[in-house]
Formats: sequence, C-alpha cells, structure tokens
Amino acid sequence: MAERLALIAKYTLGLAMAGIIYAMFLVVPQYVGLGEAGRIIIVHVPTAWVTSAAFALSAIYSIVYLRTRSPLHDASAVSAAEVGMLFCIFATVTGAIFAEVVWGTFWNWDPRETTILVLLLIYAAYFALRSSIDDGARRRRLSAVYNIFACVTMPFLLFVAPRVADSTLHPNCAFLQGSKCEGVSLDLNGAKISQLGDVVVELKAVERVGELTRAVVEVRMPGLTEYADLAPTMDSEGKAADRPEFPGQSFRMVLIEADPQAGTARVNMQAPGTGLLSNQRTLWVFLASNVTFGLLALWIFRIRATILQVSARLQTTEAL
Amino acid sequence: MQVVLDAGVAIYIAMSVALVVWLGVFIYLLRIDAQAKELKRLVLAAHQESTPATPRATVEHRTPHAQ
Repeated sequence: MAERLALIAKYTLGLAMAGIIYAMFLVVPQYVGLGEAGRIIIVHVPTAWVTSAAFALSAIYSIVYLRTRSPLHDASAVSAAEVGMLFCIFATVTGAIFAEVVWGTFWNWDPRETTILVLLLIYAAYFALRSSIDDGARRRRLSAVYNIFACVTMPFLLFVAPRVADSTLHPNCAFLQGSKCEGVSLDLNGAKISQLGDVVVELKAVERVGELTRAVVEVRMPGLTEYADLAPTMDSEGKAADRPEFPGQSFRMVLIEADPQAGTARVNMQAPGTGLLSNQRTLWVFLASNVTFGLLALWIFRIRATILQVSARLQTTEAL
Repeated sequence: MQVVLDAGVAIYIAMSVALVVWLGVFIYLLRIDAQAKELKRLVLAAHQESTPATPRATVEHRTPHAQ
C-alpha cells in the first residue's frame, strides 16, 4: 500500500513539474523591460531556495553523524550536499542566462554572482576533502565538521552579503544602493531635491498627459558627471508605465505615486525584473514551482541517500 | 528555420524542448529509484542470511532438594 502511494506521489510530481513548465511558458505573462526572460524566475529562484534547504539538511545530518557516528547519517549528509550542489549549479546557470538577456553579459561579477560562486567553491572543497582522505571514519568525521562550518557561511553568502553590497543589478528594490522599497517623496512646493543612493534627484514637474500622470525629474549622477531629465509615468490605476533608464546605467526610474494638484511625486530606482511577482498569475506559478522543486529535490535526495547507504552497509559488512 | 525562430512559434518550441528534457529526467529518476530500492532489498536480505545464528542457552534454576 505504502509503495503504491509512493508511486502515485512520484507520478503526481512528474505531472506537476510538466504543469510548471507549461505555465512558465504559456501562463506567466511577459514582463515590461524583460520580455520572455522574466519567465526564468519560475525556475531560478526555487532552485536557489532548494539549494539553501539542501545545504542546511546536509549540515543537520552531519551534526547527527557526529553524535551517533553512524555511516548511514554520513551518507545522508553527502546526499543532501550533492543535491544542494546540483541545484546551486542550476540556479547559477539560469541566473547567468537571465544576466545575458537583461544585462548583456553572462557574468559581470555582480555581488550576487560572486557570492554564489564562493558558495559553490566552498561545497566543491567539501567533496574534494572527502575524496582526499582514505580512512573512512576519519573522512566522515572531518567532512562532517567542515560541512557544519560550510553551512554557517551559506546564509551570509546567499542572503546577507548581496544585501549589504554597495550596488547590484539583481532584481529587488532593496538591493540597489540607496534605493528603498518605499522610494523617495518629492514635493514641488517643499523638499523637491532628494537622494536615491548617490544619485541626486530633483522634481521639476508633475503633470497629466492624457491617461497618464508624468513626473519630470532631473537626475545628477555621482560626481555630477551626467545630468538628465527623466520622465517616468503611471497610469490611472497607479501602475508604473514608462520607466526611463538612469544615464549610463541598467536600472530604471519608476513613478510610484504622483499628485499633479499637490505637486508631489514618489519615485524609486528599480533593477530590471523588480516587482515581477506583483502579477497574480506569476506569483501562483512561482509558489507552485517552489513546492514542486522542493519535492523533486527531496526525491533525488532519497534516491542518492539509498544508494550511498547501501554502499556504506556493504563497506561495513566487508570490514567485519 | 525562420518559422522556428518566429516569436509566436519559438515559445512553443522552447516549451516542448523543456518538456522532453523533463520527461527524460523523470523516466531516469523512476528507473534509478526502482533499482536503488531493489539493491537495498537484496543487500538487506543478504545481510540477514549471512548473519550467523546467535547461540542461545536457557538457564534453568533447579533446587535439588526441593519437592
């Protein structure tokens, strides 16, 4: 009975993943400024989440191994680390494809790219360490300790370092230097000058142009090297329409709020792809994708763990 | 070739390629999963067979003068 349920679960997972692929291409809409490239979020972000979960699981098994000294727990730790590595490579490759489409280069040493590469190297060293020690018990013990330290670096490299970096093009309003999720408020009759990071912005006008509301904002780039008048617009429902690019940069200015009568406007800077999940269809497909990729990783982990545990049992039997 | 690269068709081609790749990965996973389980079953069975029978003894306390 249990085996039949497991088989049904596997076929359901297969169908769910096929559904995610279908939805990624035909249900998720195109995103302004990204075109078809925005769809990659459905694969890229869940694989990155699965990476962190798998590495955390691996560290937990390493801790359990150090307490029990059972080779079976060591086998589980290795399996989880392998799954994490596999999905980390997948996240890196899909991110590089996204970067090529949106930023014009596969690799530009963006803080997010650099930290995920460091993480890959840390776990590559884990596997190198395992393969360099012949004595089984010593290999398991040392690699378990290393694995715990490797996992400690993981949250810092995946979640903290890219956020404290000066500037990154990785989509998220909070990631750009000086940008704030709520943006900066400008007032023609009051504080009309402000700063978005090291870019000075000055509100020149707020006006209605047909169905759109337009703000004219002068931007002065760092070192006052370049001046430009940008005119972001928003429609009558409050959705951003035109998002002009900052001079010489890949990120854009977006108009969040505007009141032509009061002469106020709120603007922010956005990297390409920011706000991708504000679309409901994209959001639901994205959530389903997270669950499906998580289950897929769990399945791969169980298969690999079974193989390594059998191998560990055989080695134990031979040693006896 | 031009038809394949057309924006309206290319997305269906890309989706079909992704689905075929997933189908291949899925079948591979199903097969390797079944083989791993079978291997585990065989190893456990062999392990049980090769385990020597544990000698057993029953200790019975008898008091010779009791009746």
